[in-house]
Amino acid sequence: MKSNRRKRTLVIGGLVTSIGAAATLLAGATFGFFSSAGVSSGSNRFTAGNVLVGLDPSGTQVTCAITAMSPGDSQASGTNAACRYVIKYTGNVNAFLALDLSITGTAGTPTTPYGASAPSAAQGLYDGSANGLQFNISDGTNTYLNGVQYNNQSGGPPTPLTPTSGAASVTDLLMNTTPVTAGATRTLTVNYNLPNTAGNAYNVATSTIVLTVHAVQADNNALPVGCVAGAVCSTGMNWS
Amino acid sequence: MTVGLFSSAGHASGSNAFSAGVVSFGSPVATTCTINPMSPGDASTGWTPAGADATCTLQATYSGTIPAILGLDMTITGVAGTPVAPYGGATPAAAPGLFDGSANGLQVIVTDGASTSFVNNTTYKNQAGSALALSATSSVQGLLIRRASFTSGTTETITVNYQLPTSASNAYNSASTTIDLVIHAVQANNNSLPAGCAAGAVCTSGFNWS
Repeated sequence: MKSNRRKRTLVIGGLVTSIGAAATLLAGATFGFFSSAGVSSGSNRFTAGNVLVGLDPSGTQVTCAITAMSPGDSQASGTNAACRYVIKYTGNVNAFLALDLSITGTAGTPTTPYGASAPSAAQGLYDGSANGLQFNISDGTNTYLNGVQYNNQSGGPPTPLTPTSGAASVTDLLMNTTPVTAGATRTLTVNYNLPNTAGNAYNVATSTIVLTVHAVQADNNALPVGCVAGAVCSTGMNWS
Repeated sequence: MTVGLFSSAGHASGSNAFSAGVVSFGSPVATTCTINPMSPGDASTGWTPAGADATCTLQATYSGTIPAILGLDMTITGVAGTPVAPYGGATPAAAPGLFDGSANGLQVIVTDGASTSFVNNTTYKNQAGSALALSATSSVQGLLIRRASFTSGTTETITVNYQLPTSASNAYNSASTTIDLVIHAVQANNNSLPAGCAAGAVCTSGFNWS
């Protein structure tokens, strides 16, 4: 008799469990099982960094708009001044900086010089020749454009920056081989000179040069062997 | 009223004590792993290939007095960053978090000491064994740590390895993701695991976690 009662109890218990399981599926009910809510927890937080570079708001920027230049004029002439831009890196990961130069120009209207015939118009005030506008762009340590030449990646002799229809550009002039960190600044100075040898071919010609500094993460982005500050560094380098 | 019938005051009664077991963890542990700031290409030391950042671990010692089944819950939350224009391109739309379930966002591998994998890059397994995608805001409950029950003093270590692919773009600038892991336990006795429940996968249907 006792044996029969025990067996019946087990059967009833099994039924209750089955019903409970069905209720869990349908209504999310819980049993009264012993459990732990999970006192052991781990919080794992991952945050990406950023790469930001721009003009230093606390720096003194000198934007040039030099008009009516005469042969022999330079940043030191009259009220002229060197163009100057203070760059500040504000990203929170290590970075490499590079400088892009873009020149555009418009041909002028040559007039007949005294004692000679009218020359052909130069394609712009900067035309890549020794007679047109000359630039010296540096950050105090590296020179990026010297007269009309820049340094290429191969390390050979300087390369002329020769425009077509007044336009020329060079990109990825490396500014640092040691990664910069947040707060680092660089001052780019643009000195200029229109040689005395410029003739009437440059009458009323203009040129505009735009400097663009960009940055890329230095971690997991090694500089290619051979890249030096002041020269182009693009082959084998990821700038974006 | 009493009569003169033979009687006895009764034998000494037996003492029957019942004591319930407990399901608990010893030394409650809450760990925090903060990786900041990450750059594309960064990875933990346990990633392949190994990076330089620390692997995150969560260790728990089961201290209950009855055998238990352990489960792992995971919650992912993300905060979009502030993309800037990349060099030579337009500003991309912000990713919803550093982990966004794509191949470009944060990749995560969550395992235990027995090489059971709970998260493989951007997916986890449901109870049927199919890989399901996680998103920037996901919540997964009842990942079975192992089929065998834990006894008091058994330690479980959950490991989180990660990598931010080099294909991550400025869409992820300053984005962040938090992955919260919670280990919980339930009695193993009278609470059998469904046949299809496998370690590393969700085990909720037909199983009682409480």
